[in-house]
Amino acid sequence: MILSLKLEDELKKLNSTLCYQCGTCTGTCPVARVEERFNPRRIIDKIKLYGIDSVLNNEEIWYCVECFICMEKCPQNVKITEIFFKLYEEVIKRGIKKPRKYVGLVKAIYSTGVSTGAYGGKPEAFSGLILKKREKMGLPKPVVKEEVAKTIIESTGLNKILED
Amino acid sequence: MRYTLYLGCVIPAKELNYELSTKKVFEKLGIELKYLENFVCCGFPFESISEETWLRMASYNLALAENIGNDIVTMCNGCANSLIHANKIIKEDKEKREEINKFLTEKFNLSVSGKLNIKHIIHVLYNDVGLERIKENVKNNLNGLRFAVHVGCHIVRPSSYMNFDNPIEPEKMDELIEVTGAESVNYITKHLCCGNYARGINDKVSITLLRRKLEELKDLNVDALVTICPACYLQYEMGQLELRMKEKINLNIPVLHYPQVLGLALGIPVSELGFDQNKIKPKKILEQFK
Ligand code: SF4
Ligand code: SF4
Repeated sequence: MILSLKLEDELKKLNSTLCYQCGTCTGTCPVARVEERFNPRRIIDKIKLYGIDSVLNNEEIWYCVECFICMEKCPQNVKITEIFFKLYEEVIKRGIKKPRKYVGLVKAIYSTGVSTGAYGGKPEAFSGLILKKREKMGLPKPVVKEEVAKTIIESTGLNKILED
Repeated sequence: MRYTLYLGCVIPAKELNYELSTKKVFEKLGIELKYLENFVCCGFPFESISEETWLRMASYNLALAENIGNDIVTMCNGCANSLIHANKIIKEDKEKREEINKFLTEKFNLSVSGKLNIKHIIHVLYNDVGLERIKENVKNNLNGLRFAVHVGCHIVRPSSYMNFDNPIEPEKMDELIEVTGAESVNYITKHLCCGNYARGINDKVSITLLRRKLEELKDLNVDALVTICPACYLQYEMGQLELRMKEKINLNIPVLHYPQVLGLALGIPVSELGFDQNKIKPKKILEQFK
């Protein structure tokens, strides 16, 4: 509960309470255009009326593609996309959900330093095949410092998303 | 002009044609690029799920580049967005800056001040080189070719820190196409998000957004779709291969990185622009420049 209150405060700073339900966000949202279950206006309204806990279990909050159009257009300067970010952070912190996409990204970056590593085969930033191709094209070997990513991810506890 | 090149994750692994053509174009224009070594991911994928992780990752890379001293250039909308945003926070928020520096010093013996400018190659070409100088260097006028530009979201939004072009209907890429003599075709879905970010969350949304744009472009009969971001490029190229395989839909619209187009105009040989790596061949263009 205390956690939620602190978060409510942060959302207020992102102007969540200023929303007057004009629907501009939903009207300009590319996702809402093709996926009727997604409606940013309604999500902001629910947060305003019922609090954050009412949307954290909601699968649809993850449908946002972070294009920032709604935020650019909102007449009340509600930081809609950034409000979604806060919700995601809270969902992950509380362990409510571990979206497959983000688990994959954290895993790759944690073990190789870059997001393209760790897919298929053994985890490494750049496969031998890629390095050979690069050499043939006259491109240098990228020098990645893998352990830095590990240190940073552990420093914030984001590695917990990889547990069990 | 000299820049530190921040490579990012996707390009050096999957889009060597983008890296190569950028390198060749910059060489031709007399701009020096020095690869940043010991980098890690720019943090972009974490901005939405763990603000602190994102800011630390971005700051680490910024700190490395500050030690070298040249402004940073990147080829990716996501990297540019992440690094520009982080740099602004570091520059303007004293409390956050001190917090980050405490962390960076303790763990990596580094520190960051926010003193560099962070640019996408489009910023460099449009602002630093300028249309005039590009024009003077055009050797092959691309008159007769028709391109559809896709600028992408994160290079122009949020305008509070990206601040480069009209955030809803950007126009500068059109100018960068037209300076080559080619036409930048106007189309209804021009500013529609590519949908890449919905992958792994809602694949149906991703594919529907992709199809909306590509089906319009099919009707308009353009010579290629031109991108400036590795994520958009991947979405449009791999997405078409996927549609062909899974749904037998054959759109066959070549996707090019902007420096491949500019490279042709600057008279760089086709063989040096990485076209062998484009999975949907721009046949008409290659025919013309063979
Ligand atoms: S555009 Fe802004 S004010 Fe209008 S419904 Fe959306 S969040 Fe509310
Ligand atoms: S940022 Fe998200 S909610 Fe806003 S318009 Fe884009 S996809 Fe829709």
